[in-house]
Amino acid sequence: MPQTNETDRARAQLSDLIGQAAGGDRLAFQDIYNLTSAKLFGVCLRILNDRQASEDALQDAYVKIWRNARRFDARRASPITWLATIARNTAIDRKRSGGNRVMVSDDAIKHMAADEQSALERLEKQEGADILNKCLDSLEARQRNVIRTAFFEGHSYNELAQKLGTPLGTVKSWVRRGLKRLKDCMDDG
Amino acid sequence: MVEETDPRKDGEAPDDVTLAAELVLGLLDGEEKAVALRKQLSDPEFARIVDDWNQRVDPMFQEFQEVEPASSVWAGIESRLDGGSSDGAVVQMKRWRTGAIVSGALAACLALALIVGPGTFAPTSEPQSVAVAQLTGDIEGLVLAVSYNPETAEMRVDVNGMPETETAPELWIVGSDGIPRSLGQIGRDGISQMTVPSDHRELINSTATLQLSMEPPSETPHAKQTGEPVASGKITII
Repeated sequence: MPQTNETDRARAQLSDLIGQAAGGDRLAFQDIYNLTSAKLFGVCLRILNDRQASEDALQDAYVKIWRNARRFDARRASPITWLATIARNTAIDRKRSGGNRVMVSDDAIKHMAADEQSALERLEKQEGADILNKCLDSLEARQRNVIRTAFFEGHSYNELAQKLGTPLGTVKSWVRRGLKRLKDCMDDG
Repeated sequence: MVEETDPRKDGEAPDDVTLAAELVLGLLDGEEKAVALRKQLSDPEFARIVDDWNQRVDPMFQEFQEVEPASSVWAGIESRLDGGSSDGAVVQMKRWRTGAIVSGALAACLALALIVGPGTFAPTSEPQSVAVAQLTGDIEGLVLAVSYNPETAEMRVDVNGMPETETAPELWIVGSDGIPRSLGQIGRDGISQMTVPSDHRELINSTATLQLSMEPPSETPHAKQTGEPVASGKITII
């Protein structure tokens, strides 16, 4: 997928900083924080829906990033994705350990619908997202909704089933069929 | 609307491509998540499939809005960066299980996969954090998967492919002071389970290394290793 030179430079800079942090360079680590904390906080906030819990998760995430910086492999992941994935997983773990069960929420379902309407805008705006979005848009609405909701809200199968008021087996079936079609579509390019 | 349930598939284990996607999306929890993470460590092909899914969903990260966190967050992080303190004494610890002692030979390559996380022990409660490490060494075909639940201090070791030897496998935790402390001898095959004594619990974090050495059979943990560890690797909290 084509990248602009600017994106390449930013990516290389962030990769270098992670490499320096892996060597124990705290100033490099602080640069990483300054460059990426707003994005990672957005990820935590979306999943946890609570500012205090999100700030706690953000702290945990950056401590993990510091300790695991040497494990970053620029050949396997873009640096921002690697960082955001740690934040997302940390927020998901915090959500599930908190015992706050997810209830069926009309707001959440409206939110999903709003996301759907902006599909065209996303296509224009976001570099590198066109194939994924084209393929997501080719899925049945309910397949697309469960996959996107799982990603953005960080729900497990059980939580999705509760939230949607749909039997677990049905939710699994939607997700798995959707994932298979998504992969087939993306592999075709 | 027609329901799209396929009852034949609900209870079935998913294929690797599906399992990898479920891991990436965060759909799994408890034991299912622990199993998938362990597979990611021990099976390079599965790890590659996980990487592929991470790349497929990568553009979705662009959709998260940026929000500035409070300025106090950085100070909180910075204060935790030098966390890994560890105090010294080697504490006697009950031996939790020893398998049959038989003669045999060591071979060439050992891979030890470690998973630390509560999910493995309490499938009904949700994991708080999971740590993983991959240890390599000199015994061919041996795979150890270790799970640790920080809430209950339960550790579980699943051993597969241990060759027959006159010595017994002993697990050691090495903190930032570099001193190996024995966690006791483990079973040669299958699952060993134990409660880690309080003195050793704080050592189990991402600054620590886990080692496996082959020692004379003993009911109590040894104070020192008698030879070089046959495998070692860092613990990672993920």
